[in-house]
Amino acid sequence: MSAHGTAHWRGRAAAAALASAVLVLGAVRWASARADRLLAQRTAATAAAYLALVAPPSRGGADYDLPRLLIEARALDGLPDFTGRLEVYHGTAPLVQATARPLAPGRFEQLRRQAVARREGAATLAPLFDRDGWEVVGAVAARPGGGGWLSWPTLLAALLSLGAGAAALAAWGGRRSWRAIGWYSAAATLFGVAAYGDLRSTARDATDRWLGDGRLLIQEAVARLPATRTSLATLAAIARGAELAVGGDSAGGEAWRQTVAGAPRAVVAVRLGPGRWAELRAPPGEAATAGWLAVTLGLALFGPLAVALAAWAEREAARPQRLRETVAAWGFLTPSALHLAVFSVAPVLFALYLSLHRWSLADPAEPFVGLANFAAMVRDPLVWISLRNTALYVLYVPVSMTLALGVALALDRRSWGARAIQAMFFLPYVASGVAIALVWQWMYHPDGGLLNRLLSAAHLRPVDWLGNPRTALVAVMIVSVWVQLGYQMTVFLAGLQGVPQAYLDAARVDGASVWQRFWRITFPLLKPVTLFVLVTGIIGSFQVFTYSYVLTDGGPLHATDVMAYRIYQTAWELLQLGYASALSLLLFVVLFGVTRAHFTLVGKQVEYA
Amino acid sequence: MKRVLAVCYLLWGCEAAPRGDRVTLELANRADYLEARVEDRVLAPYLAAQPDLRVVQQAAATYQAAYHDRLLTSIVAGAPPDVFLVDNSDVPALINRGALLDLTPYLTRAGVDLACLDQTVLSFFTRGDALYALPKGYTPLLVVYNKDLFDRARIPYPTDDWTWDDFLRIAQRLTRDTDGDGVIDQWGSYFDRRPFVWIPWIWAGGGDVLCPDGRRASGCLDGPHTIAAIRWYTGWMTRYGIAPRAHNPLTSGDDFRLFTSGRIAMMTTGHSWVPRLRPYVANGLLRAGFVAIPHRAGFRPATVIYASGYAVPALVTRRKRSIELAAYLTDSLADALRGEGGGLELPAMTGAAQALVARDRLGWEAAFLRAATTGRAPWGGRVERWRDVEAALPDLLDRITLTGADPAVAARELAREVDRLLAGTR
Amino acid sequence: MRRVGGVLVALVGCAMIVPFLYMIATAFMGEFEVLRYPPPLLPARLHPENFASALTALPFGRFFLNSAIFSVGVVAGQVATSATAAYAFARLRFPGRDRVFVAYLSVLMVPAVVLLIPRFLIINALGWVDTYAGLISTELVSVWGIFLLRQFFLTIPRDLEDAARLDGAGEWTVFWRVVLPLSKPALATLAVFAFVDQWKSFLWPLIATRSTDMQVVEVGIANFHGQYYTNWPYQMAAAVTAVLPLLVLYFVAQKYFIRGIQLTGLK
Repeated sequence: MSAHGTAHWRGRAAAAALASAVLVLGAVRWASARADRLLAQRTAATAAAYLALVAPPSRGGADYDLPRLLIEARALDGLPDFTGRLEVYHGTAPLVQATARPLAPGRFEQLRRQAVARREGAATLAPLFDRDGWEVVGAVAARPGGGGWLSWPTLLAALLSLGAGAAALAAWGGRRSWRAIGWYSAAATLFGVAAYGDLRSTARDATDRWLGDGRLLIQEAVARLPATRTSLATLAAIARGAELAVGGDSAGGEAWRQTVAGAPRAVVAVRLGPGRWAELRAPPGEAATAGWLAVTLGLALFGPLAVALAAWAEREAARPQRLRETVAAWGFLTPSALHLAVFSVAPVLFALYLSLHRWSLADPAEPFVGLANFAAMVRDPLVWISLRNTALYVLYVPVSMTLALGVALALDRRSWGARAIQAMFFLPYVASGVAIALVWQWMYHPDGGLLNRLLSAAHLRPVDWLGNPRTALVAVMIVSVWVQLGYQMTVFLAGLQGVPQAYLDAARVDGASVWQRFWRITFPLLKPVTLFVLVTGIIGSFQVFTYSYVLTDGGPLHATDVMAYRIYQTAWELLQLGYASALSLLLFVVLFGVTRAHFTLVGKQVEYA
Repeated sequence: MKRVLAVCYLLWGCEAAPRGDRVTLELANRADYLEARVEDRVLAPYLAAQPDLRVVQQAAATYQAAYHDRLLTSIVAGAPPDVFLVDNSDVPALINRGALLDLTPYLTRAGVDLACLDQTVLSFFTRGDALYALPKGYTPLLVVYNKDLFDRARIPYPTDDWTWDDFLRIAQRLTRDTDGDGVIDQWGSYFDRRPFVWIPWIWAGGGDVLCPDGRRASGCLDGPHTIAAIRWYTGWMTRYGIAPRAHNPLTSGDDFRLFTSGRIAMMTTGHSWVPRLRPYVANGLLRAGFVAIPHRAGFRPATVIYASGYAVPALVTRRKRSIELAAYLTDSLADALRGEGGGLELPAMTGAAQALVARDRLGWEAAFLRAATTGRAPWGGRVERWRDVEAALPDLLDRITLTGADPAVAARELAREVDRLLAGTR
Repeated sequence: MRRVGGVLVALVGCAMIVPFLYMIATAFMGEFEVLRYPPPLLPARLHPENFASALTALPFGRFFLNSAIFSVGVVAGQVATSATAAYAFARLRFPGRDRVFVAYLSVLMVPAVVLLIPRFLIINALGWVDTYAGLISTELVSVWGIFLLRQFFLTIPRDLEDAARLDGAGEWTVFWRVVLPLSKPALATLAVFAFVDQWKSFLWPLIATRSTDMQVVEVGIANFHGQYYTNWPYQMAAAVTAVLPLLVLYFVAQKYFIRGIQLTGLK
């Protein structure tokens, strides 16, 4: 490869390394600014709630006595240790700094009607409600405090990472090249973790500052208000989004972390009076930052990855075809890979996380239960029943496939009749699910259903198709065949278009029978498609619960209780999301094994036809 | 390609277009299209009076399960509707999690007078001093009977104080092969395996599926009165032969069809049948009456009351607007139903319910109000893990009716299972 | 032999549509009639007005438009992403190809029920609840479609591509000018099923949309199916109407499945 080629790859790698560092810092900056903004928003709301509590009402109304509100607002601003930077408006008039610009009337009107906090440049404008929490009579604006977002260690790590990157580029192509990239990766990891650490501590600080301010205001309120009005519930209104509970006796000023009812909480002790303490607890901001670790690490490692890829590409440039195909392949794959990462892999990771926790939808607490869900699964007889039912249910797939292939072969021609019959087979697949359920309940109806009418016409005993545990699963399987036949037929039909007519004609000339032509030519050429129909059919049969759900509700006596139905019921009817996730993993593992087996058994011969 | 992009942009643009300075409230219920239409009519004057208000109705949510799916997902995402309909069986879970706003402090400002509401129903949504939903409507379960079949057999209509023995005797007389082909085609009653239907029968027999504290089933579900009641109820099908063998399809509405075609003489049902049966009566296709669920001799009559109400999420952003909307709906929907001649539920406003009774010449509404006096809250309104129990209960009846298990044995086994469910942590 | 088979298949085909005919029969039944016992098979008198009443009881025009936008958007996305990814898996050699493909396939094995909540959380975080963007975005990639097209690409003879490559065509050119035109049956199959699946999907549109203005047909139909009361004739009338666009689509796409029109690569 020419020197020009080397410089080309090396230049790209250098640009990527630099971009990666800049992106990490940018992410930290953005996240910190966001945490600051959220803090300002919460501070504004807290201050507004505090004012609503301490400012006395005007006579005969729910609005405040203006002079007193003015005093309280200024006192709030002058409160020692209070970190918020506030302005309070009554109507549109500023109270803390009389010379400040008043609120635009339109803005206030908007706030009055919408009654939700909104951003106003860098600041947040929160509505100030009257004493009944009913009308908006003013506003509290809070500006984000701003402050350091990058710590020295992180800055050092950034420089280290850049240095290692430079070293890796310097060692380009030499014997030490791969080792240098290894060091670069290590430095980048360090950088990513350090950046996440900064981000996390910013979030932590924001929670702590808010809790500190909340405590200050609660204590201030207790000091000013007559004892009758200082019930915990009243005070808790100040720090909305946090809970205030009796307990705690520490005089320590700092916030600490502890687990309350399975959920992590940031806590400060609030002094309500001599010997009376309470705890103010809020979900810690840093707990919600876990996802950012993936972001900072990913961005930081993007540098070394790019360098490694560039180095690899340069080496592979000796084999241009392979390199070109690899680059092209990833170009082709990128859209789907990104989408799957966001909308499928991330949810699956969430499910993995949930399977180790107990979570019912409406509950904010997600206590960690370890492998308890999996242990419960093994002991749950319904799980085993549903596994057995699923194994039986899957058997409809080969049946419907055989039928579908037969139908496709018979209908693979150009006449109008064939087209019409194809559409007839396709119809069940497109019919709405609710309608299918209704129609089949009537078909299977023990008294007047079509099937039983046919049976009695043939002088056979009527069958309670869906009511009898022996026949219910078969009945559901029949519906599945009915629905799936058209789909499988269509895929086979499309597959048959890939069988060259010339081959078939040649075979015919050689005197091969229909049967021989099918087995020798059509079927082997159709194998990739057959594998597809088989694998997707089996995967589909593991996933479908609609018919069990609408026809029999899993019954009678769990005869139609398949895995997917069990998961649906556990998740949505019993609201046990953790357990449902564990069940999903079981389903996934079983399905993965089955599919793998298919690929090894059937697939190998056709993989690279 | 460019044209496609332009269309996409246009569509996105329409969505993103500023909706002016209007306040948008989201209102969720599981009204079907007819109820949604009533609600639309009720809301129209309200919206006309407040031009800056826009109410987005999420009324599509069909059956209960789908409604729950949607409501709970939005609660999880921290974006619940501003006002939503809850059943009393949703209340324990939502209150325990602090998902609902206590409405008490705002009632006066919103113009709600609690004295106008049915106090029993109100109590379903109350915990201590706090009120978590404004009751919309309720229904006790009753027995509906076909007067034509009674007249034809010269049986006097039942009264609220009838007993199980009366019921069985009547049902046996009404179970007949009317056309003489050797197949019974008219049945005294209908066997429903869904727990929310048969539990009041167990109550009326002096039994219960859970013990009074709601923490266990052993000692109650397998207690002598409960077992006797289960044996009797399943006996409709297995021993007395007064009910057809049926698999209770979920969607096709077989029960209603059987009743209106004169195949079944007596059926357990709620107020939702009232508006559905009225057209049959009006067209002279059927005559029917409602009567309380009979009780076992020596025990007190009992039934269950299912209720619904409008709730506001605890962290609602527009408190005033949301509560006002909930209050308005409670109030005026009741009024609207008064005009309609009865909805799927009895209105929770006592005045509106009384007006319904006064207008109703069939005596149905009065029967519902009378039955409500013996009504109790369902277990789902008291026990958070009731869903697990409810999912397990149908197995009890299925085992008895399909595999011939002994009720005492089946009940004992299920009681142990239910104990495990109630103690369980999942 | 062939004729007997044809007649047999035609008979089975007629049997297949019996339940569908029952849907149509119900759509024409009267309000009381449909609730007779035992359920009647055919309407005593036709009530064609059910269709008009059902379709005007709710803004079905809007629902059909929403369904069309949703389905077309998804089809466009899925065809594009599936064809490109499938081409990479079927035709290009790169390190780790089979492992990546298995990873793709494994996405298919995750029960959809579990994906629902996280996906809703994502579109909620993006502010896309109750918009077309939220409705469509989660469905833009279909592993099913990738798998389908990969299997079809495997059946296309390599000769033509290699000829194009020898002429110096890049991978994109080979893909766009050679492989895609040869895969029309497969692309048509994918498009038809992607469209049908979205048109029929219920749970995701139910959860991802809120206002009546954003509802799709399938959710709209469910409005006739209340907790206490179902208007069967209306529901069936709407369901039958909802099937019509799909049938038309099928007939249009059909020419790609049928022998003789599409010429295979080797002549």
